[in-house]
Amino acid sequence: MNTNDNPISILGLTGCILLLIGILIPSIFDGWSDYIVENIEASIQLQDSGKLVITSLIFTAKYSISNFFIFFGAMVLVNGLLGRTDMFYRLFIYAGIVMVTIVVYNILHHEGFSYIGHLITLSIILFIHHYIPKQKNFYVIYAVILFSILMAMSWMQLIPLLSKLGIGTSDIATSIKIADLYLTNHSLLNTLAAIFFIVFLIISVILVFLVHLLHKQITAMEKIQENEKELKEARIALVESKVYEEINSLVHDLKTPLSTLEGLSSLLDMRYKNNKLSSISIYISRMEAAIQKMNDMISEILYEDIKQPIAVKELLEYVTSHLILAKQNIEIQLELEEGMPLIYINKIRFSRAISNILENAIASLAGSEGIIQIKVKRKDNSIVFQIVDNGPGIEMSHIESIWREGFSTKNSSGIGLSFVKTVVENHNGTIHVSSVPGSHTQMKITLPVYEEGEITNGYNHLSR
Amino acid sequence: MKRFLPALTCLTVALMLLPFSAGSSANSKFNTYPNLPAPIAKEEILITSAGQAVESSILQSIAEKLNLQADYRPRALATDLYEYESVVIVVGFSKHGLSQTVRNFKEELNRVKALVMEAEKSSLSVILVDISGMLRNDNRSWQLVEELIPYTTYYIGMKSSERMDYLRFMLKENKVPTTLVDDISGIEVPFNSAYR
Repeated sequence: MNTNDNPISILGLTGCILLLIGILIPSIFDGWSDYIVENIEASIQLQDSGKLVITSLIFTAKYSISNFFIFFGAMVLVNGLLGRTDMFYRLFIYAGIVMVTIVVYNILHHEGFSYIGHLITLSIILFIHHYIPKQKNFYVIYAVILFSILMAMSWMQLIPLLSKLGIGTSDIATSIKIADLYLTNHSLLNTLAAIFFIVFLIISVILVFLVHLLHKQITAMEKIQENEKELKEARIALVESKVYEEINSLVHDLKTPLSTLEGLSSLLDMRYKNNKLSSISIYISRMEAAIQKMNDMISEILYEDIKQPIAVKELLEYVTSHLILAKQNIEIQLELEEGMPLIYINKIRFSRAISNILENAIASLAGSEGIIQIKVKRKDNSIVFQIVDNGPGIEMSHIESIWREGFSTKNSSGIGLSFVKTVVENHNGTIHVSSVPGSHTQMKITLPVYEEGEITNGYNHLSR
Repeated sequence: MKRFLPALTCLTVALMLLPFSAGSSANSKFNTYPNLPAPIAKEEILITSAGQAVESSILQSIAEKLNLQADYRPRALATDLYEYESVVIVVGFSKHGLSQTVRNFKEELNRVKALVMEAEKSSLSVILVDISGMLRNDNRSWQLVEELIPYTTYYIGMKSSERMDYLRFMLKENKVPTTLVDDISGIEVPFNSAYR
């Protein structure tokens, strides 16, 4: 049995216990029945119909409680055992369990009642079951409505007019009715029990109606909220896509002046190729290298798929050289294994991802002193980046949410870590976070090792 | 509609059980005495229960109303008869009532049989009263009636009794004068007529 089954087992066990209590209640509260019988006798002797009313109230309370345990226990048991089964079959099984338990109850306690009253009760409960929302407060709502129906049905047992139909034929109910026949010629119970029956039935119907109505309203509100959220997200996505398009277009436009610069530097190079003033040639070649580098960067921004083999050390130097530590007293410790193989990445995007992690670590230190360790090692066919900071850590409740776009505890855009995850996954890598609140946070990125000759065409696209 | 099938099934079963549970009065005519023309029993009266239903005490209340000298001893034995001139037995089986005694149903049956046999031996009148009518229609109550009728001097019952044809047959067979009443308060007149 797996752990997911445990709640089902607990529900099933609870249902069994409730059913058992329901069956054994007359034995547990034996004195209760004696008290009712003594009161019936006293009401006959004293010719006191008021006492008979009180006795009737006690009787209905007793029968409602014992039936409540049976009906409620059966529902808990069915939900526990057949949690995800089709509602249709579940209700049939529920009805079966209730009726079997009532038969056992009848036989065990020699109550001698007919089952018509219970079958009518059951059909009412099965009918209203469809209108009780299956949400977190289901059992509370169900219990309240069930008890109200059972009170109505207990009073129904005491309506003498219905005795002809076999309703209310249990031992004590019969004694109460005979006493009423003697004292008031049935006028008391025919009136009082009928009124209580109708009142409790109306209360049950109103309760079901209100619960159903409230549930419908809540569902409608949730739907509206969901639609609003989707609309908001769509708007944000639209704005983001426009911004992205504009940036892309801007970056793309940079290529035109860059091509002019490249052409002019080639002309300069041709012109001063034979010049012995070597310093101009050196400047020109540096200019060309810078232009080429800028060209590559633009291509990497424009085309996510463009990747290049790069040494880990070069990547980290590139990242840390762009970091702004301002006046914070933060020490960055780099630990690199010797003889690290190359990694195959989109340098700009991957650097941005590492920078985001480091910026988050710096922000978490909130101006105080701190150490950020960057450890890189090879593990089998992977390169593992471990970035550990000794900041306040992440609350356990936020661990799963940090990757979600828009999630932030600092009123920021909340797209930083979402971007990191996307970039790492685009590089066939994985990212994992672990944190001990008050101690540290560790981000672990695993990337596959670049094998020589494995990918040959990635960088060819740079000239696009 | 399918989702309401379990509810409709239960309701249908309940309706199907109705003919078996619903009581029916006999249609055949049954001649009875409105009350006895002359007394058949004497005071002091022992009122006891056959089946230990709590409503047997109604007879005590009626006796008090009629100023009849009576003791209500629901568990009286044959040996207690020496101080009484007549016996009134109120029939009605109650599981709860019997559970309050040390006897089971068979022992209860033996007790009341011993009581009426002793009454017959002592030439005491036995008045059998069934006030439950259709409300107690269980086999045990009927078994008690069946066993006691042969020793009964006078029977007072309800008009709405179940199995009226069978009851009439037994009473006729044993030549028991009978009075049937509409409601419990109607017992007062025939009960009084048995003594005055």
